Amino acid sequence: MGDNLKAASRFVYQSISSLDHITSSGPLSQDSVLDKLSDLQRGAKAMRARAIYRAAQSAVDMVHKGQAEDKVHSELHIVRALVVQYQHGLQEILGAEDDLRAEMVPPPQDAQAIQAETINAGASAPMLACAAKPSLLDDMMMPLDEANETDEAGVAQTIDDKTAVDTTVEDGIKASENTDIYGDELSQNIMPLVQFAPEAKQRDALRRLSVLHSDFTGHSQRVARHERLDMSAKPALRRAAKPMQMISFESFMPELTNIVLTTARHLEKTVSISYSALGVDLNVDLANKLRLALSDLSVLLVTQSLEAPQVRRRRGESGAGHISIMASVKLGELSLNIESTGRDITAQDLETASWKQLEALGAILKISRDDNRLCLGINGLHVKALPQKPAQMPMLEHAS
Amino acid sequence: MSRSCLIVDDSRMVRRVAGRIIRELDFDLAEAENGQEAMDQCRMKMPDAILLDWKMPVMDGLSFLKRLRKEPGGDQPVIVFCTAERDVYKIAEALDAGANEYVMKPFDSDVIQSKFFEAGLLG
Repeated sequence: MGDNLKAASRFVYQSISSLDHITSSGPLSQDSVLDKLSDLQRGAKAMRARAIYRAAQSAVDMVHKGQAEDKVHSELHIVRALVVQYQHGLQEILGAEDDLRAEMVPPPQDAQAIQAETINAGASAPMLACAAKPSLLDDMMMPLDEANETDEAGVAQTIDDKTAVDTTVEDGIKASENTDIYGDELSQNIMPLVQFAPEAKQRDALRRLSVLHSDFTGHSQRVARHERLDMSAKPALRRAAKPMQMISFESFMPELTNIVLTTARHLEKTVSISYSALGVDLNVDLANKLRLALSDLSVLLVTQSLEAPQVRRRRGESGAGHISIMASVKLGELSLNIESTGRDITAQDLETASWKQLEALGAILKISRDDNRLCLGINGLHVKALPQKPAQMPMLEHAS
Repeated sequence: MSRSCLIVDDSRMVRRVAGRIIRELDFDLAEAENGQEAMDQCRMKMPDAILLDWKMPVMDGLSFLKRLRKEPGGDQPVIVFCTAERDVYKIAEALDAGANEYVMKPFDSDVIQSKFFEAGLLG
């Protein structure tokens, strides 16, 4: 089930070509963009490149929703970065193969016969030392014509809707179970499709699941024995081990900052974030819900609200966007003021599960705009037991 | 004695890229294609760090994470969880399950280095 290196090389080449075509050819029709992305996704699916597949799907979703071109292009930057990383991995593997070729040893007599067969089949790959992995040998020795046929089969089996995926997967499982009939190459191309299917659809996964269950039962028994001997088998998890009932608002900030800066870097945007909190401590339940909502909101602001530096500069603004988060407590109610120097966030954008959880606690959202500055006010969250801190937390700022 | 890092990802390409980065940080390297393979390796020798993908066949990253943390000595490795999702629920779920840090794909050496540094793996 090794990667097919020739197919992987073609996938990289075709993906970059497709992305270049989309981003460099001027305005394209929506259908044309979707076709290119669909091709890219087929390749990603065949190569089991899930990250690329999902990033491309995000771009497809944005096109379907009629998102602005610069936003789609930002998403395509992520796709391209993932393809480039995949390419780097591929190059390293191919480099390793070159090393193996350099270590080539004279073939033994029986191997010479195999080599002759390989050459007759149209491949000119030399025999490698037996230390070479079988999958690499398979990749190198597969005649190009066969590789093309395999790819076409893979594309033909790639599917436009979920039902078709499931059917193909079922067929694939049957086919892969009978490798005598269909051969290893076919199973190699089907297995990636199988792995993209829900695990419940995979007979092999179910078989492995039963093994895991047995393993897990044994493990549980071992854990139980440890507990009887008062030997804690539970890990001292860094986050789970905190016994606190109250969480300071500021403790969210390193994580939020990290999310904002990481997201910004992936989107090639420049963003700074500042925050202040006047002795705001929250009970654990509220803190957890708020943490998720703020994380969602931060990602949303970076991806949707704050534009790329060149777009901002064209409008005569600073290339760097800014997010400010201020928390305070008034009459036992938490008031959050989140500002972004970006645009275009609407109440619809905020209809996330995390926000709904806050609404269930009585939070009220207010959206306002002033001089291209978006302000989201979140009020009404009741806060209990607020130990005041002696000094105001300083404003902190990070920039990517 | 050098430290060790286990890279768990079903993509050979990603393992290669990550492996190069990890080797540059002077870690001994081990690889696994899925959570089950990783679990087998951890039972033989617990690594100092684990770079863990989310979506994998056989056993996904989250299942592996939860099971590893219940193993004797499973609380020791610093686990950096890798995701291509920008879904904060997934990130939060992984952190709650015992991941120490997370990185978003595509990652680079700076990101990995900073995560390892924050986790106390680099002096």
